[in-house]
Amino acid sequence: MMSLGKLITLKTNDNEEFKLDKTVAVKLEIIKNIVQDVDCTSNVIPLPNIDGKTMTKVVKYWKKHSEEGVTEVQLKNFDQDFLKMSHSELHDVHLAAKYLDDNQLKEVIIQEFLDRIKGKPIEEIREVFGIVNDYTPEEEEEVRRENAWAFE
Amino acid sequence: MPDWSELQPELLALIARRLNLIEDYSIFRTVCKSWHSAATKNNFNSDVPRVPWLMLAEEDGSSSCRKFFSLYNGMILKKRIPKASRKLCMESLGWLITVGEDEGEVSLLHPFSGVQIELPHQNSTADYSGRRTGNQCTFFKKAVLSASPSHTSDYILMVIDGVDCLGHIIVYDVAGPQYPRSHMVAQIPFHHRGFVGELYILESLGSLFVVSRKGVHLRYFRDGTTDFRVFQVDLASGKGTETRELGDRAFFVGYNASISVQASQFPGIKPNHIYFTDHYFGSYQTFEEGGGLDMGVFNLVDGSIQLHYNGVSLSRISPPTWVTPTLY
Repeated sequence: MMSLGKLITLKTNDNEEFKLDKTVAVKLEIIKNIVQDVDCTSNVIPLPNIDGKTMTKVVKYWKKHSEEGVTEVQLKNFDQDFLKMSHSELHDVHLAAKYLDDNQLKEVIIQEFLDRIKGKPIEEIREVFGIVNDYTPEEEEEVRRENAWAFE
Repeated sequence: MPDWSELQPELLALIARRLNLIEDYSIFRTVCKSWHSAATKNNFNSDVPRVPWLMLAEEDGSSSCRKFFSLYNGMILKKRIPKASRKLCMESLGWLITVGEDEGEVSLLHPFSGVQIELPHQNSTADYSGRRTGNQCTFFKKAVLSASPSHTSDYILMVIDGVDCLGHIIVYDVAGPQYPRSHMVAQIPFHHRGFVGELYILESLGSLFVVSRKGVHLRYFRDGTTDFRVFQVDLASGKGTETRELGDRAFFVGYNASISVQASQFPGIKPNHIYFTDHYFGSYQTFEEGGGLDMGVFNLVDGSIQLHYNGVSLSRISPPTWVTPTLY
């Protein structure tokens, strides 16, 4: 196991480096795990599955959520603002959170997806997510007619 | 731009698992094929409380299709239920107690799985010949299950052929060794006998309530229901106290229906309101068009009544009924 210096550097697959203060890092169980798992002598941890753009968001989230004395209200406002991103960005952040084993961030992303789906009609969901309907009209009619839980 | 029909299956499954409302789940699985394949039976959370749907009257020539109306998003779900065709349907715990119009045969029917349990004919009850009426559907007026047959074979269906209009709450001990014995446990202060109207009794969040509904029988002269009064019953003192404050509760009442839900758990359901369906059985038979006009939602704060279902759904045998959707 490597020794923890004052800073830990996370390096993304497009060679962007993120220096995290140790005081931030040690609060994050996930970083500790990565540090333990990665066999390296430097303080640089490679993240082969995450790009710089996504990691910028993740680090922003971590920093805010480990801030000294941050209030619940501040975090709520921050999250609201943080989640104003496209579906594909959300998707990427979810993948990163999954790779980093950050359950809290995963949960936040899933909740945001739920909020974007709940109570919306089919056409709106398709439009918002840019989904092309791949049912034939007959198939769609069949699916619509199915009982909500008459699962095959 | 990623293809959103190709969201990672794991993420889709996580989302699907968290869509607790049947309405959202149905829409999710209709978006596209890959979303459909994530919305499996196993990913559906069937273990949460449900708010009733309004099962609409059978339509002529509808090949025994019944429609269910959701107060959440106005969704109408169609389901073929041939075994409910031309039968009086009373709901209890997600099951329908069906009574045949012509023969008077009685069954338990699960509307969504199609499971049917035949029950003894009503002519097997004591004193049947003395108490039968000309109409097979009116032999008993209320029926309630002690437990859902979906979960246990140890259940009792209790049928009741009358309600005390003097404000007495009577308990029948059906588990005792003797023929069911009754005793009074509380008295509701109905000051004016004329008000009483239809009565409902419901348990909600540990409290017992009696609801009295006025105007049900005025269909000849006017629209029907005009007012509700709610009494909270304290079994310790045997007294009922009138209240206009139900907190987060919403009640669903109607012919054989006395259901309470927590409104905050269900988007679209208003707290401190009473959702009602036509309860005037007489009207089912009396009017050419049948029953089903006397429906609405009553606001306990200001006493106003608004519509919940905008359409017209009428039947002489089985007008709109509250049905709590359950998976099986």
